Amino acid sequence: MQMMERTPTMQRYSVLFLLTFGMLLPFAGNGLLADQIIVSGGRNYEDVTITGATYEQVQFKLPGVSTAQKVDADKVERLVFSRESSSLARGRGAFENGDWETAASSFKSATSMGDALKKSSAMYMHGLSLLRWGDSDATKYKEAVSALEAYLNEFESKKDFYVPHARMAISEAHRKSGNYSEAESALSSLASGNMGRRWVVGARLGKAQSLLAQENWGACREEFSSVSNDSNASTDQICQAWIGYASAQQGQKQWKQAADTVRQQILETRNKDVLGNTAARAHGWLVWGRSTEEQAGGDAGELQWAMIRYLRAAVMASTGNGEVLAEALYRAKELAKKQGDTDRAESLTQRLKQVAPDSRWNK
Amino acid sequence: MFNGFSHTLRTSFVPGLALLAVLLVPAIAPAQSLGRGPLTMEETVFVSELLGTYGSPDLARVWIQSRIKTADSGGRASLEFALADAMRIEGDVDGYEAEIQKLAKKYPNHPRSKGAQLESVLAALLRLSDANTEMIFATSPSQRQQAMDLRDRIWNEEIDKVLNENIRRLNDEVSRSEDKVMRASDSDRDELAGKLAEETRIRDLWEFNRLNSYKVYAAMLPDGSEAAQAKYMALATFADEFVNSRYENFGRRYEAQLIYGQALSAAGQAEEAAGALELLVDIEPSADPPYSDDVIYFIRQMRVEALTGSLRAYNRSGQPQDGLDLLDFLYEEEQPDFPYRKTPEDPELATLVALLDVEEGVTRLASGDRPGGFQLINAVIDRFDNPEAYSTDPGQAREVVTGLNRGLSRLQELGAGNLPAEYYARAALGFRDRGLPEKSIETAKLALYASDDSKEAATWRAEALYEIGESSDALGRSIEAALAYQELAENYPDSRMVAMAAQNFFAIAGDFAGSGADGPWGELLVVAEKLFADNSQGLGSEQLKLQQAVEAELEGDYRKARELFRRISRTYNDGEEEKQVPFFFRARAGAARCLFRSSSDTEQAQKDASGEILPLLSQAREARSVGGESVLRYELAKIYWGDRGKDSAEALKYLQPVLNEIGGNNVYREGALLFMLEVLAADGKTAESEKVLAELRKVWPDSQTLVAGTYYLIEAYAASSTPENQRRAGELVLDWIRLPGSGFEESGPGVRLGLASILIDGGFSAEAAEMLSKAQEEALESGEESLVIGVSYFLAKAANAAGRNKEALDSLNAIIENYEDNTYSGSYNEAPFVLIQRASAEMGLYQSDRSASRLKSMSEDLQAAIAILDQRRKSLLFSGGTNPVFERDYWSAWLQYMEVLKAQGRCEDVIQLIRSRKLMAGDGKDFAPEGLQARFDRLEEECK
Repeated sequence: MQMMERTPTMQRYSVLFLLTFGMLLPFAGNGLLADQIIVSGGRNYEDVTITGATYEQVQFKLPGVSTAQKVDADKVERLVFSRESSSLARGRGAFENGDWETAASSFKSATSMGDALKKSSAMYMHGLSLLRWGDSDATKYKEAVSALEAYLNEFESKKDFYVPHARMAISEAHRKSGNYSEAESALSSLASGNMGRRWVVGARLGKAQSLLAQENWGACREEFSSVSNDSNASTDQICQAWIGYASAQQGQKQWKQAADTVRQQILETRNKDVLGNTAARAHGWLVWGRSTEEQAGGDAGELQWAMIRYLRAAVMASTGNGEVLAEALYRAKELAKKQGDTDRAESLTQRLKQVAPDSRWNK
Repeated sequence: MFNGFSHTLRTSFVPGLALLAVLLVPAIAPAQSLGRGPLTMEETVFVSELLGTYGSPDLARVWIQSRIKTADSGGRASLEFALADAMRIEGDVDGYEAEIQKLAKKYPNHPRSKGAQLESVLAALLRLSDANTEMIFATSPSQRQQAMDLRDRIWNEEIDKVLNENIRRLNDEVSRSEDKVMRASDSDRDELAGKLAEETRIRDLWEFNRLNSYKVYAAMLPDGSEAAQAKYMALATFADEFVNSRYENFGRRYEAQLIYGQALSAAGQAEEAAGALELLVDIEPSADPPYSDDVIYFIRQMRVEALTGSLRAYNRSGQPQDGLDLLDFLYEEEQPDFPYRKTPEDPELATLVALLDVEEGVTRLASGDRPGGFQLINAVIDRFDNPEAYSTDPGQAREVVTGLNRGLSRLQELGAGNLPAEYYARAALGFRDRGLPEKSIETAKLALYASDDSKEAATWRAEALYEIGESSDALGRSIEAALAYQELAENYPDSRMVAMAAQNFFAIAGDFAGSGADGPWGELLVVAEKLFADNSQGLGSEQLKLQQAVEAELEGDYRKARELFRRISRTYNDGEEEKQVPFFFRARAGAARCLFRSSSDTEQAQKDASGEILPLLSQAREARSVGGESVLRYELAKIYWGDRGKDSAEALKYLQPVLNEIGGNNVYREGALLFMLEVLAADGKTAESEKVLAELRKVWPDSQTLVAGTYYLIEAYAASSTPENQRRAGELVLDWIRLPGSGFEESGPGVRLGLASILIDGGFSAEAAEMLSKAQEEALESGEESLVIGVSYFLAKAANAAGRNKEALDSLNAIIENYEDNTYSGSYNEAPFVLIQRASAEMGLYQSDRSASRLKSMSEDLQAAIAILDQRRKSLLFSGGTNPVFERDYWSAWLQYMEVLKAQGRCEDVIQLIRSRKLMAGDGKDFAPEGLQARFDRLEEECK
């Protein structure tokens, strides 16, 4: 078709246009246009420019202020950069959605970036994506370890912000591969306290998870308990510790006690930070559901309660929180079969296939 | 967010509605003064602005009604078409379509008449949109499926088929005309060529509208589904054909090219789409400047839409970086005449530019330019998702917000992470709008995990949970819906959704709990009830108490109900000021009713309950609460005239002010008046009843109350034995059957027989016969004995009333012959009346032949009838009392019998019988109803 023509160059007008356009677009001013520092238990730092980040401190500048400010890295959960490559952005989106394969490949592409802050972020996230992918394909644990070690090789000496996070992730990968001694040794530098008090707690949490995986109920409960009561622990660590504690109680068949733990410490607590931790609450409902089912015997009413609690977990767990979602749907499906509700069982089977196709709960 | 949830797809019919503009072509300019003769251009534009731009059908109607009086025939036709448009704008699509078709026949030469069929397609598109909207907001899978089926049926039957058949026909016509032009002589060629051009124009118009229709329907199908892909590919083919073969209108060819690119993009062919749209993203006119405003507008529209389409194509195919490159290239080459955006923006392009901003924002966010992306998208939100935008131009605001939500859902698919909670919640809405509720749920969950701790984040998490609830409901996952609402109500008490969520949780828990309150859902129902009471601030909390009270009363727990009724406050605080609870007096009346019903001592209960209500009457009057006073008076009257007593004088004393002292059309006044009519009619006070019925007719002419009220009055008149009253009963029956809610057309033969009887007594034999003929057909079809007898009996009664006594006698003889035992034993309802009617028929014949045998036969029949009626009367008296209609019939039979005795010369027997009746009633007392008693007295005198 030849009826349309391309315009001739109109560069002389473009500058004027861009200036006019740029000036007149309203500025939203909600902090999304600049970097963000996401902290644990406090107000996030928005509308800042991150100039440096180590596991000791994160440096940033406020708009219009030339001198840099600092925040203790112990309190920082995450860094969000306003300008990222499309690969890094896509990787984060895929990670949120539990699409580990896309996340891993996107982050991998982003590791070639020149900017050290973003490169380190991409390398760490690449390793983390492989670790999550490992939950449905165990061969990825090894790749995760390699990727995270590559990151440490390049950035540990620079005290990069993500170093302790990466150590925790390596430990998890080893633990999930059944290499418990490597899992503990990966945490040794955290336990020394060089990377901050929070990571001393992190090392204990990692150790407790390792003991839980080895079904050493008593010892792991002791560790989890010490983490959950440590004032240096972040909200996320406290939540993980209580969930781990309740899981150990379930391992010991203390169903009622496990339910009490998650109810008192997570689901019915007055701690606003814990209540705001959706992932922990979803996991809490799952634990409570399982305890209810195990205690129900043939009581139809109690089984109905178990179903309600599994589904409440499923309502809150996202695909990024995939294992909890998959387990909740799986247990609800099995329970529906037990109740003779074949329609619900079939519908839950379909949903499980849809939202967690590769999960071990779907096999 | 202000109102993004309640969007409608109606606004997505810009192309469809543009059809009207095309059809109304000779019409553009300003004029408000009233003229005479033909419509001027200004006037035509003025009407279209009133209807289109300002959406004011009422104003348009006022102006048209004035102008139409002085318009010439052409102008009159145009204005009548505009009146039809007003119906469409008000949402009466069926009325609009019918009117257009009617006008097309009335004014066959009017330009719009030629497009009348195409306007039917437009009407169908509007119905299609309604069905689709219903599907999106359906709260159960069955509702959803039903709406989807309706939508698809409208598409297949009323749109696709009509478009294709007409286009085929028009193409045939064009081919034939082309042949004729080829073969025509020089003298005919010009005329035939003109005809061909007109036919070609119409054919092209149809084809162009097929493109727009396909575009609309394809966008309704689940995004990315096979059905949608197929429709988009078909659309791409049609659009491509149009571009390559329809040269008459270049504007439409450009638009077809745009549609072609958009269709390819939606079908997932990103590269091809980008190629097709690239031809348009920086088009310019082939003519030299200066350009007219229309040209500039059109070119900018094409460029903006094409750029939006190109970016969307890249985004859909996961290549946002390519979109960003395109933007960089184009913005480098910005032209002053045809910029992609202007400040201030042309209002007519504002929607398209906002959608371009959304798509560019998505492109930038997905390709890593977060500040640029956030800036563009937040600017669109700030401008269009606020109350002012919705009140200024709701259609535009909805279209932009819907486009924004859809855009953010695509951003989510592109995998941009670390977004604020608001973006996830909006993306969830976008997915639902795209027919993907499962994705909507999973995306809404991400809002719960978003790390932003802005003040608005909690609000958006609540919105996201509400969305999870709604989409879960639509998918039939009611438990999950309830749990999402519970999560919202428990954890986001300050959000704007909390009241609705608590209410939904309460409703679903109630459904699951069922009648028995045991089990988890019974326990959750208590939780839900508390959440609802806590969160439905002010009036909602009072409403809950009212609902609970009514439920308790229905269960017979009067004590609990009374307590709840009494807990309802007189006022509530709506957050700003104290307001009257509108149902306060109703609640107090309910409390008194419960008090009355819970006591076994009627007299004491009447005293207690009325003692509670009476002081409230003056309060209701002071508060000018017509509803309140009416309901209080109704309950007071009910205390005295109901199942525990029939003190009509006392009841009417309390009801009288509802008719005479308070006015208005309040529904409770209507109820009180209907009750007053019932009491009056039962008392036989027909004159007063007529007054009440007149008030009901005047104030509530379309209400169902008239059906019941008229029937009460019919009964009152029918019970009377005076011919005037029986005639009035007949008149009212004829009124009653015409009332819209009477259901007479659907009524069975039983009802028809009853009504026919009243008509016969009232002297409306012809009307009765007509009514009976239909009843006879149905009775014969059913073969039910009682109905067959009933119909024959009433036909005979009608014949007797019309003086056709022989015919009646034959019919009645046939009944008695066929059902002899049943008749004499009175085993069917009409048995005694069959005998009475046979006596009447014999009496009619006796008047002419004076045969003594007839008197004997009459005497026997009437004796037999009276024996049956006596038996029935005893049973009625034993079970509580007879009714006026029975009494009338019973004494009529006696009167008839005594008249026969008199004719036989047995006057002594007559006197003896009357005296004995008087003795039975009490010395000197009347024994028969008023009208009949006079006749007995006269007969006695005659016999003496």
